[in-house]
Amino acid sequence: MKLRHIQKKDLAHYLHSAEYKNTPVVPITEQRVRSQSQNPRADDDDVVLIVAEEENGHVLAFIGLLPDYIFFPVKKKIWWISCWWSDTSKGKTLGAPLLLAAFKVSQGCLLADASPTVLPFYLKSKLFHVPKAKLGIKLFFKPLIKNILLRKKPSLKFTSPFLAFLDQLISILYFPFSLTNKFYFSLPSSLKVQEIDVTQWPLPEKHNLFQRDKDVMTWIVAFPWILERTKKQGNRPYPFSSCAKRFRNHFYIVKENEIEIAHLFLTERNGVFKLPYLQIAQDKEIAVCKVLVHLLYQKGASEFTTFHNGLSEAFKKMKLPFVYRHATSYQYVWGKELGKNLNVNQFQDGDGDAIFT
Amino acid sequence: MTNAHSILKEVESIFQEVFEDSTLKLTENTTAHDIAEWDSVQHLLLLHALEQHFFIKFALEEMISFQNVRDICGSIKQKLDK
Repeated sequence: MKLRHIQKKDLAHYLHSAEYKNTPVVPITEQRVRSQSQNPRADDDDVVLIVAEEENGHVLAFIGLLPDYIFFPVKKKIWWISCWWSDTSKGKTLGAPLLLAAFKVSQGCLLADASPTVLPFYLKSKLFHVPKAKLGIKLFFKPLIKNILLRKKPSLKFTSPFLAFLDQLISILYFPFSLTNKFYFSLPSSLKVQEIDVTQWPLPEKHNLFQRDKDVMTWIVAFPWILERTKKQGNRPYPFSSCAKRFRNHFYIVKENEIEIAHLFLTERNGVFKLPYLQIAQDKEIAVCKVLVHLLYQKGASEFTTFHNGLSEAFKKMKLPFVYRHATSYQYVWGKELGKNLNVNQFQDGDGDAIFT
Repeated sequence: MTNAHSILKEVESIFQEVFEDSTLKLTENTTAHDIAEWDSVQHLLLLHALEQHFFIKFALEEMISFQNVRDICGSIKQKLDK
């Protein structure tokens, strides 16, 4: 067993190595290699992937790292954990040592989002600060009993045809009522929304922790980690997201009475929408929510999630007939080296690697 | 020269402390699959406890390469014999 630290400059070489070609589980996809290799915030010798492999190169565990900068209180290099996986059998004892390896590489300047499955690892390691989870809201525009239930309880997969039938039935019953949504989701004449190009994205706001500027945004859009495909590339498993039937980024400018009130960066993945970045004028949350539901309805969204404080509150108060609202949360963790003073409410939904998927 | 059997006994007592199970018995062939609670975090805590007990240090590469109790005891013996 050996530990391989792969630097940005070595990624392409690793992709063409015999070890990569022979490992039954791949630790990184081609599109992630292309993206990481072009990361404007990564230096050539930054470690971006740590792999625990057998002597024959078979990968038993890996942790992916995304170099970035934080601008609080001063500009500092940080690493986001972009993926973390270990083989449940042969790699049972490897996850935490890999996290420790990543911690050493980043000198403790490590950030991650923690799903309920991995949160105990961060807590037990005692290396991470675990703040209160950031609260948000999910809007469901279509009956999604099948998706929601199977996401929470995969063991119920055998009920899939029945749940799909139930969703269809609800859709049919709901159709006459849904016609009224056209009225509810239409834009008032004072509001205008216009799709723009990534190059028109404004400079980051001063309070933004990660200051993703036009160069970074252009790189993100040019090198997505999700490719539009109906089938996964290759026949070997990659344990994280790599393809979707539809994956798009949309940029908008919102005007109220001809005055700019917001810039939206919206991502769409198989009908599921997120708002990675939002720049909004003071007290314009209700107006932006109206624009968002209008856009989401137009685009046939099935689901939308935001962790933006102001928007979540506004959505809770808004009259949205036949849209099911559900409270949700997002847990960040970061190395104690970064201190306790980072404010999760200053994180935007797209910060870290979230923007890529 | 350190006695391999006495190392195994001391390692066993550390395992019992870390896993809070005084009935835990080890053989050289014991692996993480034989102890349900032996996950990767417990693995780190265990190695840390062994480092403290024997006044030694494990390299990260060693930590990931241990396949069973024999590997752990072998590494401890090697370090103590140096």
